[in-house]
Amino acid sequence: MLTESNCIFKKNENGFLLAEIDGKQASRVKIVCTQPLTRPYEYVSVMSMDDEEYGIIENVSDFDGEQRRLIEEDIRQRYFCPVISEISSIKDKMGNFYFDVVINGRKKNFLVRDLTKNIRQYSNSIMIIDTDGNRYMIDDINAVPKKSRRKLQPYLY
Amino acid sequence: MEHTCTKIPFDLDSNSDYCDGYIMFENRILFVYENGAEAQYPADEMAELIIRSDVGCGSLEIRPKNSEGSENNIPVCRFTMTCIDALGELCKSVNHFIDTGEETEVSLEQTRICPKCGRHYMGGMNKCIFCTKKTGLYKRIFKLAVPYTKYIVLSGVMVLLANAASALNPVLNAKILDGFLYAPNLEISAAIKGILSIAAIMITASLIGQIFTVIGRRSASIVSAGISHSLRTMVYEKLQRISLKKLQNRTGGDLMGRVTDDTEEVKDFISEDAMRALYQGLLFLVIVVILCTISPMLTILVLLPVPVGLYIFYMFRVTVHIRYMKQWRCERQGKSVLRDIVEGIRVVKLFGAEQREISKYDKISLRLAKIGISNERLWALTFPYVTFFIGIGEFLVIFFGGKMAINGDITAGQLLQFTLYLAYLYGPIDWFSRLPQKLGRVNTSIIKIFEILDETEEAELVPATLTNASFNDKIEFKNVRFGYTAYEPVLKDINLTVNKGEMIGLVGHSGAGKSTMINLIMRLYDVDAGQITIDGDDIRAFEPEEYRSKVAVVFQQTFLFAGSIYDNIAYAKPNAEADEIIRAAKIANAHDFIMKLPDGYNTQVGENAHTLSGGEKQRIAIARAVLRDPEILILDEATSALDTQTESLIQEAMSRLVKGRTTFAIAHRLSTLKDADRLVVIEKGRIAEVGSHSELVKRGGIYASLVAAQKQTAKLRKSEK
Repeated sequence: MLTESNCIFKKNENGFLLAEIDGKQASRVKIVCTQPLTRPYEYVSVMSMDDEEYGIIENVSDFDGEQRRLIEEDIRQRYFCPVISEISSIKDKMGNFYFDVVINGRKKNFLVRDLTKNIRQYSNSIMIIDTDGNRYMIDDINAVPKKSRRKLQPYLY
Repeated sequence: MEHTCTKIPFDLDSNSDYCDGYIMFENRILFVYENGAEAQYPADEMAELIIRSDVGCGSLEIRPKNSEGSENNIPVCRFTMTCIDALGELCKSVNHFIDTGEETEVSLEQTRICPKCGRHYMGGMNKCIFCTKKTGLYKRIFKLAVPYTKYIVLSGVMVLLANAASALNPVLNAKILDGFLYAPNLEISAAIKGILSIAAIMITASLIGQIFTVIGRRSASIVSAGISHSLRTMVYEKLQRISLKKLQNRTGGDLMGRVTDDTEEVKDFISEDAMRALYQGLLFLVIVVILCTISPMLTILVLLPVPVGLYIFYMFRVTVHIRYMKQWRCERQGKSVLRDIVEGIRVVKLFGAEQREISKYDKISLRLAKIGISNERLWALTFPYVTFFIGIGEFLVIFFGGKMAINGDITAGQLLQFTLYLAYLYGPIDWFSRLPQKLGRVNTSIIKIFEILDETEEAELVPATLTNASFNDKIEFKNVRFGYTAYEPVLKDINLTVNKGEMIGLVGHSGAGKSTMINLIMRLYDVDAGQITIDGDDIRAFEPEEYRSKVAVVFQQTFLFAGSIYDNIAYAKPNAEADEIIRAAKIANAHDFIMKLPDGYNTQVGENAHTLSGGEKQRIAIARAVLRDPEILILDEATSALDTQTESLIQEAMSRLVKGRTTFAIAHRLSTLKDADRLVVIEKGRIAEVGSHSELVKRGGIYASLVAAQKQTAKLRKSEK
């Protein structure tokens, strides 16, 4: 297990995350979540850029202040999942579902196939995966406008 | 600064917020524009441009010259997965420049976004379903029907006449009512005679109508079978000519669907729907004219709710479709859970998870029941109102028409005629409300078909001018670079010279690039950069068929086509004589087992026919290769799936086959490569080691560790036994 005592993170001038583990010289690392959908900040793996695992952090909250911020920032950067605030339309073209949505006040469109696999529900939050592999999140289905909810409802279970 | 080269977009800034950015490579410089700010990176200072893909996003980095460790890389931009293909193409182009100094145009052929509307292309398509102009495509489709014009006209006329015959009924009914039943001064015997004669006319009209229908349908089936045949053949022929690289984004199911389902959809549309649209449209017009002659006022009353009715019908169908699709998806999910439980029943019991699995299925079943109830409720509550609204014209006719009949403005017979024709009117309305869905389906199929038909065949970077691919000296790989996707090169900097008659064993971990290398030798794909040459001539300069006639391959999984064993061996040389086939089978150690089969070489194999074992199939594949008498032989894990006894038979056949041929062999079991003249170890897409078995073991590198690992595994297996 990696803890604050044996693992120190910092960023270099190019903005890459470096880690000094067990006193060894800092090298570039990436943070990989073991359960990115359900527990993104628990049991996260610290890996080299060649996918070699240095160790696992049990809980990111075990790290304090700046160290914790660096880990969380790396996770946010590696797992990009913008939040949908509004669904303008969903058009079905022979099993290809064209979504027109609003994210951060910006209009966006994407294509989703195989809805059973690519619309995932975790209690009230919903994740949609498009054909490119982009992920989109609706944090709380009950919090989006009623019109949007009604449009998405036929595709939820 | 004015740029003329292709701008590649990216969409995330360094904080992972959406941004507007683009990147381009021009005059040896990589230009990056992010939210209006410019950055420049000279190619002379770069060792490589690298793409890293994360989850839902990725980043572009420069590995500077003379630097070690990825921490010294320079971040260029961040992007969502939507941009990755185009940025991969840019990487390919820049890295090619770094390696060779040649500037190449960035190809955006593989990107799947419509440049016009920004929407994604549908699965496996390279055309936008929203922006493609359909009129031109329809013209091309209808051109296919031109040779069948006489049948189309005949069929159309017959259908019209058949319907005209059935449309006589309301007129005749009115005649019975007004002419005989309500004729005050007519004698009963005359009335009966009159009614009988009209009944006879009705029967005759109905009979003639049926004859017209039969002739019409027969003509339509000739048209549809002809069009279907032409379309299938065109699409299938084209598929055979398109390169594998262009087809790799499409699944086998998708391609099969284009040959069968999409052509069928278009055929049905031409033979059924197009003709029906004509007929329903004409029927609608004719009935409206007839109704107007009886009473223009009543006709207006009937037609008033029609547009609203059409819209309601359409919307009703769309809603019902969405809801029933949801039910279907849920049913599918339920089935998949059930299948898991049934197939994994031993695991479930072993872990005592019966109750857990019961509650999992119970949950889905309950959800399905809820969706079902909700759908049935919608149907039950809405459909009667929809039909009531559509049929409201009928009530208006009875009310106002009845009034008019009482006042003597129209006769009772005319009123009856009017209400009967009204029923005819709802047929076209109902049919036209389905038209948007039908058009949507056929539009997609037409676009998918023409996308394949219009696909450009591989552009020849090197013109195919050489017709004789025989080789006398050597095969050379010169700075070869290749990737199935633009952003992920599988082979890099491959340089290798193979002499004629040499046997090369390709060794490496899974995914290292061994199979890719033989795909390039077979010319299933062409290199992205560099060259593969035979006696100094680029293999792309040979006619592909001529080149491939010199190459034979034995795969791990042998595919036998439906047909006889004889046909399957002869596949390599269709004009081979029987003695050649038997000789090939003997060399391949296949003759003996074939002769034990009751039908010998006539034994049918393939789907739904005689099942051969893996070893038997493999020997047929070797016989095929022997018959082809190739100069270059490729063995791709040819003996990996066999038991020891079968393997020795095949090894023996194989050693006969290999003799005197230039051979490339891949095998995970390194002992099977003991006869190789040289072993080439591939690691992460590059050649890591080259040498004989003993040389490489002595060197103590990757090959030595692979040999040691296999020895260890063999020891463990022995001790387990």
